[in-house]
Amino acid sequence: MSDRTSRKQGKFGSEANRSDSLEQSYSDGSRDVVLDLKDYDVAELREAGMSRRQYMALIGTAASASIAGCSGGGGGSTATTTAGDPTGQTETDDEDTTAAGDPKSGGTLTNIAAVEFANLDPAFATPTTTHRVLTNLFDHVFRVNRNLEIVPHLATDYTTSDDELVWEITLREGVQFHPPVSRELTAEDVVFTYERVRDEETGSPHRSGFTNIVDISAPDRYTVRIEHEEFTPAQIISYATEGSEIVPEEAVEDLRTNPVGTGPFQLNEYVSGAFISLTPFEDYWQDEGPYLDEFVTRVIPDESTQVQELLTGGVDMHPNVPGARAQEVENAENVSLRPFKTGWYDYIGVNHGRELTGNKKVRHAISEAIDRNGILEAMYSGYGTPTQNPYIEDSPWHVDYNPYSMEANPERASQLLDEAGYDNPDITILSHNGQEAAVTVIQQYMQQAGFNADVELLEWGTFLDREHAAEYDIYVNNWPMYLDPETMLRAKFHTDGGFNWLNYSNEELDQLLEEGGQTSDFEERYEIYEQAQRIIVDDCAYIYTLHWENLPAVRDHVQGYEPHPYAYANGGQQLTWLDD
Amino acid sequence: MSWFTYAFKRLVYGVLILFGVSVIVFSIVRLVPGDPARIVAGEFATERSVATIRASLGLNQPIWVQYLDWIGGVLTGDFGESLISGESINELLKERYVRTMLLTATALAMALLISFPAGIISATKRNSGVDYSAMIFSQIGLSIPSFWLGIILILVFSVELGWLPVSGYHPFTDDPIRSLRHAILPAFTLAVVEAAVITRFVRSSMLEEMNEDYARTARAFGHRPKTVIRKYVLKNALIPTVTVIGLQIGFMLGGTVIIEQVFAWPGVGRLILNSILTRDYPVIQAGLLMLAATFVIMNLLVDLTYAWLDPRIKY
Repeated sequence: MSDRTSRKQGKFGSEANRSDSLEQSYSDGSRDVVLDLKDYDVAELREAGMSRRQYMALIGTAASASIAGCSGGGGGSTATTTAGDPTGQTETDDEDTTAAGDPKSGGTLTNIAAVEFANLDPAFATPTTTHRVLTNLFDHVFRVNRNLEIVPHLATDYTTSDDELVWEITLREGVQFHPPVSRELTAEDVVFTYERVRDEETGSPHRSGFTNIVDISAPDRYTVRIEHEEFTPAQIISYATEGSEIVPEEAVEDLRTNPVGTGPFQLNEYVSGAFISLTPFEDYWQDEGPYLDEFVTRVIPDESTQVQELLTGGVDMHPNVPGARAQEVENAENVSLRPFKTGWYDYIGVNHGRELTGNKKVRHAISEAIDRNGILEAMYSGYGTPTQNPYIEDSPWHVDYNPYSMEANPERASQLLDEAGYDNPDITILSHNGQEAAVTVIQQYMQQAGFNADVELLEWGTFLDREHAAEYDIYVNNWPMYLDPETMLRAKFHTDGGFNWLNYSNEELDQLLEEGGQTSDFEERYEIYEQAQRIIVDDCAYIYTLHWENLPAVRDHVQGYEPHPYAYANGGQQLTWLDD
Repeated sequence: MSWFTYAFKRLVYGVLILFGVSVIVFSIVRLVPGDPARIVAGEFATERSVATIRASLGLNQPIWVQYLDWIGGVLTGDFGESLISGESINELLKERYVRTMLLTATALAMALLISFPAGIISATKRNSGVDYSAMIFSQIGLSIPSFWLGIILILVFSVELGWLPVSGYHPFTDDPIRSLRHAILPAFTLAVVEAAVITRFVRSSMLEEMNEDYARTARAFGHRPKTVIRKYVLKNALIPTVTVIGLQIGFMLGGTVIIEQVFAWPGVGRLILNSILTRDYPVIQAGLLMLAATFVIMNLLVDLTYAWLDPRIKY
């Protein structure tokens, strides 16, 4: 299951140590979120302050925080006062980061990649493992910060027309590309990068985020002008996430093995299938870090080998320890597990086009039959939260709505089956090897509730085919939390949604989802999506089962590493340093 | 038939076999359910982008057009590009193949160093304690699953004793000592099964030859037993053994798939396994064809060595 877990690193989420303070700082009704500045550097503060309102509206965290403290050293070494916090709670730092003092320079940090780097060209890279490396090599025009907001990065500012269709982005001056390109990044590079991904010929898997661009040009050296076809609140996310890493035209032919970007690290050596080694880029535009002399990522596919390497010090960290191995790592000396919440959820997908599963009572019966805690224990050694909703609590879009039993309730389930007119109906649970543990317990729960449940476990590629062709009764799988409900909900549950492989169609829901996609005010959007989520849960469009936690582990001398809640930025090692 | 005619004939057969392999491999990978375009696009891709990628990969063409395209390239020495990474397969195979060969060669050397002394001593001291223990060990070696043995060796030699690195690979040209330290455990894991097979074979063919008339006659002439063994028996026992070694090299190549996975060794085996999981058709095809070619060539070499081992053999 190593391949699966690595691909499934939390795409969005939030750190465990932050979640407590976040929960308490929601003020009633207004859903304000207090910004915690723990990990901001000075440059970021300046940027974030500049146009916060715009970004908040987009992402939904309508922050009202007044900025009272700012981070001095690397890796969040100073505690901050969050003045807007109604509870007056001050967050304490993770013990590992407070104990160690000022960052030291030097040393080699070795990390693990569970799957090979298929392609280091950002226009093509899809696995999370690859992005953990790329995030050190490349910069985006915007980026996702630790509060899951989008802030300018290579940009210093941007303005939009009244209809929000035409954007003018001002770029930072003095940003250099790595050698051998070694020249300043200009607006032309942004134009080139976006057009390349948008071009159908390129065949980039990230293309869909760029098809809304009608025209893109560089009126001067530091200005990019983008004209969009229609308004979508999610557009800016495409300019901050995978596929939008700015690349230089002259290096583009060899990017797949020889990536050249503007990031804090540059490529040192890449031995295909074995390891990739990065060294600090001296002309990086930010002052802070990197502290490491070298950052190596070794490809180690076998889970058992990964854990042995970590425990013996062959590597310094593991980006996501497999759930079944968590106990072993937690008990080990010199290694600490750093669980943090991701927005990834596990769910049971239902084929609404089949007679049995098209019946709402049957879907309810399944939801009542399963023990969500049992699934969590079987799959993730209990690291996570059972749920019946799409969004985790830390998300601004979260709705707390759990109408079904969290524990198994076979009596209620059988009763519902009776009402639906079924007696011990045949049903096949489809899934892939990565979900074997979950499927096994789900089958038991369903048997106990009066289903004649059968299991069909497939290899990953084969499973995808069946899922996308809607050839199943029900299936078990997991998905990332997308920042915007456009992708998270509309793409899945709208009749014409790109990810609707469920044969699901609900007119009332379709209307709500369309309305939400054309609204820009957060409060209004939240109301719309709250209704939508209630319909999804009531109707069992999906049967959500749990949100799981990511389980990075580091050896004790690794300091300043904070898992980023946005998993693709999770491998950022700019501020990581090694203690003796 | 002269040695050269025989070699040429065998070579032609080899090419025909490889042609057959190419057709079978090409068809089989396409019969496996799963779509490379969908895997390139990632799990979170819409049907439209999958279709675009499928077209850009040339997967929407008729299958025979795809085959002709591919085999045409192969005949001119060009295996094409990986569907997933776009890397040149020639480059990819070249570096991976060398690594797998390093592993297999080290393993073979280990296997021979263990099995020949063990086999010879067992045969000459038949039914002794040495013989029994050699046979017990070879029985164990045959029965142990190699991935399990690999994990146990890691636990003992890397985790407990800390003598050797847990896993990984280091380029030989960069630092030979470090490279070999990385190779020891995976090569030994691979060598154990081979050593077990070869030991048994050496032992039994030695015993057979020792009971032959010529051996008895030699002893009757008063030659020292050591001389009889070394000069006559061993040489004759070599012929069947060499055949087995040739076949075992083929099996060893197959075994690398698992070993390379456990020890994070970036060779052909892992490349093929990965490509199968991602449905990277041209890489699977090239990798399997390459292994088949190695197998064919190994067997050819074995057959040609007979003449050198036993000058009476005519082709």
